[in-house]
Amino acid sequence: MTDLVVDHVNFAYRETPVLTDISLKLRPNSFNLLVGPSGSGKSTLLKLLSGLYPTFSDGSLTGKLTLDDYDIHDIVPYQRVAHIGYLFQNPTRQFVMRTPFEELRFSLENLQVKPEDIEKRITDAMESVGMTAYMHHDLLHLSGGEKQKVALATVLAADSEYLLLDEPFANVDPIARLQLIDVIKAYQNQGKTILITDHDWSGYTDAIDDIFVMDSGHLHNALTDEREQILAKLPNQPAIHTSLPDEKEGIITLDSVTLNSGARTLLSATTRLLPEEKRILITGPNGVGKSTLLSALVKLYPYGGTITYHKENIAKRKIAKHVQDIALVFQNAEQQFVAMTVQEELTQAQTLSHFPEFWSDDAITRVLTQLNLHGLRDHIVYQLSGGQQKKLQVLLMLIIGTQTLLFDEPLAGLDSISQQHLLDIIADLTTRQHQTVIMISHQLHAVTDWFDYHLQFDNQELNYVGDAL
Amino acid sequence: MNPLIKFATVMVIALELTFIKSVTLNIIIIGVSAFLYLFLKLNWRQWLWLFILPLLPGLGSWFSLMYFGTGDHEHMAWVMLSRVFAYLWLGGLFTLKLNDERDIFLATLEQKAKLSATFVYALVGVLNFMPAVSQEMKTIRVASQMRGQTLHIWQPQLYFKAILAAIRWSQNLAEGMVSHGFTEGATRTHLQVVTIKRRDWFLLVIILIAFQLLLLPNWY
Repeated sequence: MTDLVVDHVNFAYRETPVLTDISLKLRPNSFNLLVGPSGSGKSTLLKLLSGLYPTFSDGSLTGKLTLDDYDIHDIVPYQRVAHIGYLFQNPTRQFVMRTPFEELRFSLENLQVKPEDIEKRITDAMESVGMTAYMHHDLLHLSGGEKQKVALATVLAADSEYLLLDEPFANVDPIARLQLIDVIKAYQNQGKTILITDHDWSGYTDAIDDIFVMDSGHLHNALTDEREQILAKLPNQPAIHTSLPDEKEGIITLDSVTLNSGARTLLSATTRLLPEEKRILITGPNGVGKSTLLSALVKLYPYGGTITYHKENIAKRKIAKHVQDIALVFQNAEQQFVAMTVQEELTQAQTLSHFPEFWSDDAITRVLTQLNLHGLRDHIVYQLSGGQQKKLQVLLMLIIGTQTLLFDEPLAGLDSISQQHLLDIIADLTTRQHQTVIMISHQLHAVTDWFDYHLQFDNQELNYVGDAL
Repeated sequence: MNPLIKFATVMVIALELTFIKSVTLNIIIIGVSAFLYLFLKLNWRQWLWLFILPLLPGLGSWFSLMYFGTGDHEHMAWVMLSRVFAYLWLGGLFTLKLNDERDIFLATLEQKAKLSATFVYALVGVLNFMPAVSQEMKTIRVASQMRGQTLHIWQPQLYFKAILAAIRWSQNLAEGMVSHGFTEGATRTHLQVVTIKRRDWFLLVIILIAFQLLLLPNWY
């Protein structure tokens, strides 16, 4: 086993320090969890450990990161990856090829794996994440959670000694998530060392050896009470308390609506209504078609049947006008940005808000502070951390104040405090602005009593479920 | 036939055509290509493209030579018209099947033509990105419409976002490749080793000899 050592590392973008005096040594063959709020520097540390930074960043590094006394950064990639495997936070970012099979093959060929072993390693890795059926599917057409599984298969196949996983389950459904933790545990049992960042602490109780806490760029070993708090999270599915809708009219109605992805049926003819000024949750396993449904509602994806908005057939509505009434908060935050800096984004949203009287400079400053984004006004939006981008994106869409907002996993990759703040702000503002909220989420711990209604998407069906009468 | 060999054959013939002023020969090339297309099972749309695409440049040069040319301009007008068709139909033999043969073509470039793997995989990355481009443009437009801002085709912001997306994407591609262990200049193993069959080389030689024989009657 080689030794991975972080020795008094500082890392800064221009003048802003991201990591301060970090030292870390992982015990060989251990399972480590790295926790900390969004934007505290977890991803930066992982990217430094993987050797991608500082090359792919414009930050400056002092201190040493070594693998058996060799500078990690100086090791050529194919040898480095044999020792350190790294999984990106955003899975779409790391794919090079067209299909999962090609992707894994590309990686294994780079690592100079013998041709006769390649196919077996691909099959084994894809099997362990349960994605064999999608081996030759186009990666573009896989769902967010499915992409994360393929990305995980890629690093598993590389068989690296150290595995660095950055939010590997953010878009994975809760059941698959627990299965994947087992897969990673089994991988560790082959003598590997794991370092994983996750905001959802459930399901790790039996797996974890060490816990590290990152807080504003400082790293420490979890204190006893922090450790207890984290390990106490149980993996059970929280009960969502919602009622069944009794409205006779909906702001959105689906009439015999069908959805397909290639030859695969996602939704068979379904008739449902979605009531106005309510908060509606959509849950379901990965790849079932949740994001596709939201895309169809904003006319970005073809569907069968009829969808109406305020009794108007959306097929007949011009898309420019349609999305002024019903907007999608994309899963990938970067797609929603129109300017360069946080301040420019805010000004843009402020000028085009449907509720300009609410959105004074003071009001914006107040919400920014609540979301812990206040000090970032002159930052480039593309350089914010994953969690900060998400919070900013949601805020911008709330400022615009579109009548119906569709949220595609807005809580993924956020720490639980940020999740709670974001939910409070969404609840507060959408009530005040009389908005309808439709949200896909896997982070059910945070939302047990937040929603009015709950739609379950499974087996090509979309049904309301609820426990209250 | 291996696509790289096919590419070489087509290129050599096309190069020679440039120096030969013969309508007959051009028509023979078109005829032979058309004959081969019969076996390639083209769909009607591809046939349509084969007829329409050469029409504009072909007729353009035909008109300018016919009515504004000097010297042997009438003959040259017909040569140019038929030459444009010959080029495109000949090239089509390679390009129209490229979609199906893309992977093997790129693998041949890497393994046989010893082209740098960096170049080949950057190309693969770009080709894989192509289908995403139009979707991305659509998403950019709708995303900004959702922010209350309509970006029209003529507005620079649309392209600014698109270029930004492309830059981000190319950075991601570079990071993705490195994180997958891709190393510039390092050896790689290959799951599928490309071999160029002896038959392919044989066909290349036969076709080129046959073409040279066609030139014997001094058409030009």
